Amino acid sequence: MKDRKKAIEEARKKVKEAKTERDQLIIHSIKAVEEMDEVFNLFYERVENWHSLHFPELPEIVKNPETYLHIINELLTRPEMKEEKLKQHTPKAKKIEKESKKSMGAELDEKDLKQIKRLAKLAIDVKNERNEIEEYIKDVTKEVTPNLRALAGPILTARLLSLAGSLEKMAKMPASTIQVLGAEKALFAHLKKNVPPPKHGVIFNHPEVRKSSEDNRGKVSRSLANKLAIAARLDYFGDKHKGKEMKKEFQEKLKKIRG
Amino acid sequence: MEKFSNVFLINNKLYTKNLVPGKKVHGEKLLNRNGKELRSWHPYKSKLASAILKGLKELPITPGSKVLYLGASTGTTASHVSDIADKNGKVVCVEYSEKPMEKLIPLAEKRSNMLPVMGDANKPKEYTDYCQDVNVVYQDVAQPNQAEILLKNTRFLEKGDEALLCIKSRSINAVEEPKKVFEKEISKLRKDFRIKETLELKPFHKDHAFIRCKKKSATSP
Repeated sequence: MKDRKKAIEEARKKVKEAKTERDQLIIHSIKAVEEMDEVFNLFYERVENWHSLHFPELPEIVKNPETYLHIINELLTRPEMKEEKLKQHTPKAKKIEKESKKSMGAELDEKDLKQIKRLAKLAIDVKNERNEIEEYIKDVTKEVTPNLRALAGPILTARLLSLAGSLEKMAKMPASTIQVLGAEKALFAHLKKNVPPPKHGVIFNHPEVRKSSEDNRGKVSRSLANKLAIAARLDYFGDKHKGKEMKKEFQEKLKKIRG
Repeated sequence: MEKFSNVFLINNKLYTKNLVPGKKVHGEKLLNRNGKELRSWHPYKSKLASAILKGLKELPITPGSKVLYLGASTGTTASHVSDIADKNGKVVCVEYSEKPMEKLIPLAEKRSNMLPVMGDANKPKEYTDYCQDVNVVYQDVAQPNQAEILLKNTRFLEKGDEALLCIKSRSINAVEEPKKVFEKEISKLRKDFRIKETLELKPFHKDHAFIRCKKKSATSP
């Protein structure tokens, strides 16, 4: 059948076209970032539990996972943790040195602890690479979805796109759907049972929604979702330079809501 | 036992005669019977297979059929339809999204009666060129307007031609009772079709109904 050859060729061409949509890059990037965060937390927990055999007091003093991992990576054993070396990592250097001397952890030698260092190093690398990807997201969103970016910031934009599936789908979504993207469980609970509807999905991560009082949060997220829906449509179909204007409108609306 | 032509039921398991002997499509089992190679057909993976196991009385897809397959996805069921339609048949596989299309194209390249089309089943005009001689429509799209999609695609059918339709109640209304959803969809189909059979695909597929219907009269496109 000569029709068949033509059909196959056409389908191939269309798949290729679909793959060149830039929004898919953003979606894969943000998913990678989310997965790397999970991996980082997993590794950090393991390092913390593992190293606590040797120095259980350290995580109590250094609460920040990244700082903790840097310390483990560079100064593995308790005797190595001297104030002057710790200084570059944390202001609590003096306390760490003091605690290290009277720690109730086991005396483990270099050979045992070296294995922990491997994992710590890996976790730090994961974090660094993750940050690189985040930078990349900040960059691509500027080019692909400038209006959304101006309103929601690069990371939230990427999350919304990944939940919607593509910029095209998001552009065709009603604002009310955008408002509850990421709160599907609560939404379906509302539709099925007699429970109140969710006020926000991932939109909650927007600083303006988050800092609003509980009474206003629904209103704020609704008007944000409205603006986001318009922004997505503009990004997909039309003028990419309305971001600033829309942000201003949103700010004014906020003022009204907050009275 | 040959249940329908090219469809076999052996020990309560379904098989279709392999169009491309020696080639598997989705990791299924191959079986040799009287010099024919059979491909096993899983009811949990394919709605058509489960409909046959649930007692579908007639299968409009026969050797030589020209099938319009809407919602072909990666081609699991479509490959079996292509088995049944055999060398003289034709299966036009319409799929909307690009991801399953990646798998469907290589499959179509191997099967001499399969035509992949990347298009929207809502817009039959996009693929009219390939569908001039179509006489069966098989539709399995998980869309909220499933019945409307079938009605739009009846333009390819003549009076008396049959269509198979799989309704997923969850994609029409996730909250409503599936039975009510089915009834509503069926009543929409009555406009152009006479309903011949309705099956529920429990336990193979949850909240799915399978419908065989016959076109009433020619409609203007």
